[in-house]
Amino acid sequence: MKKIHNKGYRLVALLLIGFLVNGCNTLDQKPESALAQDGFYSNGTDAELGLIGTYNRLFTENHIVGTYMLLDMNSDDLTTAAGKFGYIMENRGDMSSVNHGTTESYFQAPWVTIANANLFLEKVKDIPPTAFVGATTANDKRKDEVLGEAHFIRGLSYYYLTMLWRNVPLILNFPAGALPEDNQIPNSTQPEVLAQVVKDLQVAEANLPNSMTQFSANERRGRASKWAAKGFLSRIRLQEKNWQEVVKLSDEIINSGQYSLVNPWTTMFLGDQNSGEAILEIQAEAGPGFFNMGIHGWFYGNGEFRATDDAVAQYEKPRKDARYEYTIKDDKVSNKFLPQPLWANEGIARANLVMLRLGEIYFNKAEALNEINYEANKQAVLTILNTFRARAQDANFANRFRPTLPVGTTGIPLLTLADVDTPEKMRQAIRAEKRRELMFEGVRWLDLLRWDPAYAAQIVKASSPDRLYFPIPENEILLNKGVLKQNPGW
Amino acid sequence: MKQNRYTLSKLLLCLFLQAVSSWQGYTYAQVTASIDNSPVDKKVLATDLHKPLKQALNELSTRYNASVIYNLQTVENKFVTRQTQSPARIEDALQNLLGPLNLHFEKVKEHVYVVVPPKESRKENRPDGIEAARTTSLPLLDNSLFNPLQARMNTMLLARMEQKTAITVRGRVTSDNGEGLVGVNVIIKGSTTGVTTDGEGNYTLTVPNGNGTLIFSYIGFLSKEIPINNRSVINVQLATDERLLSEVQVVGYGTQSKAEVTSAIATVTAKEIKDMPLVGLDQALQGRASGVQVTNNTGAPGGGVSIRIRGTSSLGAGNEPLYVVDGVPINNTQTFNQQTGEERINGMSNINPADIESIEILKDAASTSIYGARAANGVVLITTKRGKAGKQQIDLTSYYGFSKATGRYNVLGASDFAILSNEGLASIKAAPVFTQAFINNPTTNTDWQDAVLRTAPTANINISTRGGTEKTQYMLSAGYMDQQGILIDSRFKRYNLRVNLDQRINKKVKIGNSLMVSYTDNNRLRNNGTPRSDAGGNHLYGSPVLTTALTRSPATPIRLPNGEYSFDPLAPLIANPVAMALAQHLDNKTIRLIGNLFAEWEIIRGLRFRTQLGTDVRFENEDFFYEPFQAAVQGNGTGTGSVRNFNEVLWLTENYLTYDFGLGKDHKFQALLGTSFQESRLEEAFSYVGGFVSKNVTTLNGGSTILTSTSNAESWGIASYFGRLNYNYKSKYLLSINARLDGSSRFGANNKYGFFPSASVGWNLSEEEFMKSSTTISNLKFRASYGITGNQEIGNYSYIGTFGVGGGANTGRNYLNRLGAVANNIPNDDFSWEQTAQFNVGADVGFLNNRLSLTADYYIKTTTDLLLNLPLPRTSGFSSTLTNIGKMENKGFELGINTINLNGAFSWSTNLNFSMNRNKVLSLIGGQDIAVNEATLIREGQPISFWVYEREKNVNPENGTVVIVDQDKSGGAVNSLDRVIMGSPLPKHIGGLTNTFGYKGFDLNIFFQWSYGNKIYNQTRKWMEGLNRDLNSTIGYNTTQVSFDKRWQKPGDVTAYPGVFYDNRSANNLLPHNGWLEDGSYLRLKTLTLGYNLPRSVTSKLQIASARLYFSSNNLLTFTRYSGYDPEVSHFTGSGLGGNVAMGYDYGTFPQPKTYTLGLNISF
Repeated sequence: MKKIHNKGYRLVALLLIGFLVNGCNTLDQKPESALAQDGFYSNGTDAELGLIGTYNRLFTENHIVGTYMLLDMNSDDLTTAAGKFGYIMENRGDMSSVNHGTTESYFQAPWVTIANANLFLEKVKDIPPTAFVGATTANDKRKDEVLGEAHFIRGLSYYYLTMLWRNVPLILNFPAGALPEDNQIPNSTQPEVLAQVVKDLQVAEANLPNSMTQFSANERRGRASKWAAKGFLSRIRLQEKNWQEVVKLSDEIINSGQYSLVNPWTTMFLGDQNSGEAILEIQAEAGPGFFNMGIHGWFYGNGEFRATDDAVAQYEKPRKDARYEYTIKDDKVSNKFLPQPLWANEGIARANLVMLRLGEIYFNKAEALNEINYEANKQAVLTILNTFRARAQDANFANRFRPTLPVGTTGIPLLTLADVDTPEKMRQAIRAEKRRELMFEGVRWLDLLRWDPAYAAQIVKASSPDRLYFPIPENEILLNKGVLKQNPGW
Repeated sequence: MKQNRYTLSKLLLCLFLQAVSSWQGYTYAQVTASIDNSPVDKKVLATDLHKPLKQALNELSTRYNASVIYNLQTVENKFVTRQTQSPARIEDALQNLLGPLNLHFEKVKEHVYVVVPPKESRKENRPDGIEAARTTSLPLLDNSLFNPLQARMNTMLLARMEQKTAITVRGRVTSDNGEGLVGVNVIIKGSTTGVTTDGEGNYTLTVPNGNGTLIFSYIGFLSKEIPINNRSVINVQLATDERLLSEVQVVGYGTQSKAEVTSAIATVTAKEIKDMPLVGLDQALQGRASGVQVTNNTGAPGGGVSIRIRGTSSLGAGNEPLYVVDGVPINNTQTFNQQTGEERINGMSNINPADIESIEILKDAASTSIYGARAANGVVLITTKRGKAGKQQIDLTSYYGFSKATGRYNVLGASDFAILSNEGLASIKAAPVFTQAFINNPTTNTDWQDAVLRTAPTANINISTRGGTEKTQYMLSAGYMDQQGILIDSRFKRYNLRVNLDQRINKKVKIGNSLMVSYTDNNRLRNNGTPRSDAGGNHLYGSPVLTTALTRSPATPIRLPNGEYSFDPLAPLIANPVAMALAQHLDNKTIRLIGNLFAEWEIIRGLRFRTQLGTDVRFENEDFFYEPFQAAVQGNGTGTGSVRNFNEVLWLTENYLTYDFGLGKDHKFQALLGTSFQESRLEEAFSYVGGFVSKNVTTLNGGSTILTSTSNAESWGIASYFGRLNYNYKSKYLLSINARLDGSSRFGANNKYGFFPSASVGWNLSEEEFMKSSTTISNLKFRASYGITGNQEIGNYSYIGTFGVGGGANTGRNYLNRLGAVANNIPNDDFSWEQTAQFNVGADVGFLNNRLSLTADYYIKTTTDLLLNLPLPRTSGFSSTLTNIGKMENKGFELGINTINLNGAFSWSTNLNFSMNRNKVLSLIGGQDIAVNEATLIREGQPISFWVYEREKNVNPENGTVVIVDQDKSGGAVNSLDRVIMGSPLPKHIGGLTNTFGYKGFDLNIFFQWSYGNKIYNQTRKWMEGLNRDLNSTIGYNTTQVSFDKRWQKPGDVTAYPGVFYDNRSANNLLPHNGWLEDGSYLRLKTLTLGYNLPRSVTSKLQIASARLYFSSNNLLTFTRYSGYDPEVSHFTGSGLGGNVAMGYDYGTFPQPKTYTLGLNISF
């Protein structure tokens, strides 16, 4: 009996000891599937990780890809039917700050990119240059490069934001506080925002080398570069009518030796893309899923959007201009960025989006030259235009949607000086050619804003020039408690 | 002396009879630690070495905090030698006391013991009344020694002498499980004649004539009066007196005498829920307890359930109570996956309701603060059945039945649908797609609701056995449930095992365990949500079954002649609902293990130490397979498949001391001091693969491309120190103080620990001398409590800023095949615990010996530092931030009434519970409104509300469009200032009403349950009557017949229903306006059960102890004005703002079924 007694106590004692031991460290739980912000950005590896994350946000469906859709929807190139996706966005008549289609999600996404870029810029500047991988004497510029890349991302984000939503707040720091009132920031004007864009792009221009040779050629096109920074700067200079600067920037890019016009023209959009002409091209992952970056092409290509009659009328046809034959199907559906095949791996197949290419740079230069001095530059401009017109001919062009059609396009006639014998005629020729060349590449609407706001207003049924820009979504106004004001005209 | 005894006996008998004839109440004495109202025999007290047994029993019950029940006459004139030592267990003490006196005891329930006389004396059957009274142990009211009525006694005695023409009645008295009851008193009403039943429960009694009435009474059971009606055989079944058995209240970390409880606790017993064909035991709480609102989020078998105890007290940190199963606070994680959207699995569905002994719902701070940081939403204590010393009992319970949908939407047939579509096309000047010939005589006319709804079978069988010796007790059970859903291909199967053991090592030490293992196999459907296949978790595949069935064109067939599912090129985004159900396989298999091991040691008298190790382990594996080559959706269609693994392991160690002691006779204390450490870790992995070409290989190797492959691990821990002190003075004045200090890994260093105290007081008025004599009020207690509890149900690691890493390029954070990191949040070091302070006052009243009992409570619950993901300006780069934002109040009134209306041969009892809760947001940061989602708003000074546009009742007669009232008088376009608060998803009051009838072997239980004053946002109807058309579709959604019949067609039409427009003219109709808000009040016949207990004559032939056959129906009748399938609906689930606050949304939700079951319970 006594023995059993003792056993009982021993059992209790054992249980007690065993159970108490387990109680230690209960409160010490660390995240395992995420990184703590505290202590992050302490070395080059962290910086590369954060930079990739920031690129990822820039190139999401809702940020740049959505931005390009909005730009083309607004332009006279692309349209959609009433009730279809995008209809509200291209129709300011039916739009209000409440009823704004899905523009809200396109407005929201860039700020995620900006916040990440801001955090990156704040933190990475304190990392010693030697903490970067490969920071040897041969390559000790990586820190400058990553900062340049982040400035580029932020600059690009603000550029498109202000070109679509006009007076957006200018936020250059990661939120200092977590509460709404810490994050209610008033609007800046479009010129103020553009000035910051220029600053950011200039840092990128200065920091980035001629070529980040540590990366493959394709990866270099998928990242910021000195040349992409110059390219976007040239767009802004065009807007400012700073023609000399446009010519200077354009020439620097053209003469950089990094890019060349390709022939045949379709090279840019077929196969693995990443042609010699591409300066910035979103590298869509070959991986699967609907959210693949081919979403852009899918919207254009599956019948949501269609080319306007006016856009179709820009081309000589049939089977003359490879650009038309490739870009617009018979049903006016665009397939410029249509992945091949459309469906793969239960989602949209991979298709890179060409954001900036050398072709545009030539047109920027041509436009500036013509504005500077028609007489002096007319031959140079004509040469540029004819370079593009010549590419319309493609003896080996095969229509991938209609394989029964004969192979090849016959081309279009080159222009002569007689065709463009006044500055105005030259101007119109440049504009028409640029439209044909860069149709559905997100440029046309930006051009129309500077060339002909009245016409642009007509396209989007805007009752006033103010309405060329979108209203800031009502929810944002509410969340900002009046600190952020609605754009004029809404 | 002899003469004296005789006189006393007469006196007592007379008093007894008087008591019985006026009221058949308790005919036994009962003592508990607090109620000791038996007068002590002064004469006997004088002796030092001996004391009366009665007194000894009373002392014993006090010392062991138990109720000991005895017949006064059994213990009368018996004395015990004073004991110097007191054993660890009450059983031993009782044995020591009673053994020498040739008495026995039975354990009725934990802490409740009955003293029974020696068997020989029970068998005596004396026909003569006077003689019988002298020699048998007739029960006498313990406190009825005063106020003798000698005259009445004499009259009755005289009457006795004149009896003639006697007949003999015999029969058997059984308990409700069919066992014979030994020692039941059988008395002829209005006389002193009586006998007691023998060892088999049989009795034989000679009665003066066949017109009298017999009274059957037995301690622990409700007495019955049965008229003799010249019968010679009368068999009787006595029902257990639940009130008696629940004299002990389970509380956090222990038990307490019910009379001493000063907090608000509701109890639901196994008996109340036993006939309900429910998957989750939490569903069983619906309508059963005041202050508890149970909403089935979905009718899917095994689907999620929302429980709100005393209202919604948190906005962003979870509102579900803490569940404690046999002392283990378990995880109640509702997992979900991308294939089913909001439709989740009920975390409680693994527990077999048949194993439950009782469920206690701790409501006020006094009862919950012992659970500290997790108690703000109330605590549900689940106690499972345990073994009892004694004869082995085997119970078999089973039912079989079927369920059906409670209603249908009246949607258009093909002909009307064709007209509708053509009209829509005409509105945008497009050519019609349906010919007049088709309209006149549709060649295809599919009733999609018929195609996806079905009558679904349900089966359940449980077998359990209980028993043991004084040293070892066991409870073993096994269960199987198979419930098919009313939507095709939905099914829930559960297999359960339970082993609960108690072992006494020696007089001081006891060990034991509880262990449950269950395996569930749940075939799920992608159901709730928009009919469009491109929205929701998966863009390309997976339209919800029910919403597609309601909106899909009836002009398309289910299958094409070649057997393939049809595809509708006119509306390609609305998939074929039958294909969505049958060609998609989503199978969730869960293994759950909940158990504990404990050891208890009585160190010195009254001081006990308990150590406990608990665990909750859950392994979940969910396979998804979408068959290849379905024409049902657009695109080609190689198949896809996924596997999701989820496992969660919780450990708990608890050590606590309890000390019961007294100071003098009047001051009694109960102290508790303990620690608890708990840790839980979850790991989940998800792989999603595409490119399946064969439907025969469904595992992931059958696909060709990995679409997603990811995993995640998280853990949390809580370290706690708690204590309690209960004090009572003469059982009249009660005080209880509780406190818990909790440290949680979920909060930052500055706020890691939270302190949660509470105090409560009680006054037992019925213990006061001036109340004791009251014959009307048998129990009266006032209670008041105040305390603070916390809420920590936020995500792990929320207090630190984190970066999300990886996860692929498109849905994740990578680019260029390189790993990327993206900031998840803005770090906020300042946020702290959400605290809920609760004030409660209540009263427990019993009238007429508790024949009518009533419990009422009023509370004010104020939650401060509400944790919420507050929406941020998006320009910050973040959509929301977790912060402490404000203050919210819930106040309410609860009432519970139990009455025994009739307790004769025909018995009838009623239970009513009624709760009203008023929710109000007291303050929000900066006074800022929080728009939760489409139609829910949180605004200062208001309850959680619906916030919608107000539409004019009729459409604009000129153009047939919906007109939105211009609230802000802006005159311009519709903007958010035009929105107004219109009602709340929170009910004004809820309740349940149960009536139980019994007659002979039959019992009838009618349980009504209601919700009044809540609104429902009927998104399901909006999808239909919104007359929407998808992108890429030629035609729109199907709609209801009424919206079609009454639609606007031409200028001048005055109607509430807009015209069919496929363009922007339908925009206002698609806004969240009050046209979609409906009154969600309902009154529901939740359960109707008719049971029949087989008579002894049959059961004895079958050699079984008892058998019960019953028919039961759930949701048989529903009275509501709600137009949808079911008013019991709330789509959003889970924690976080959306799940917590956005209640009352109908999103094509899987409706509650109406079930019919036939059950058989047998005991051996």
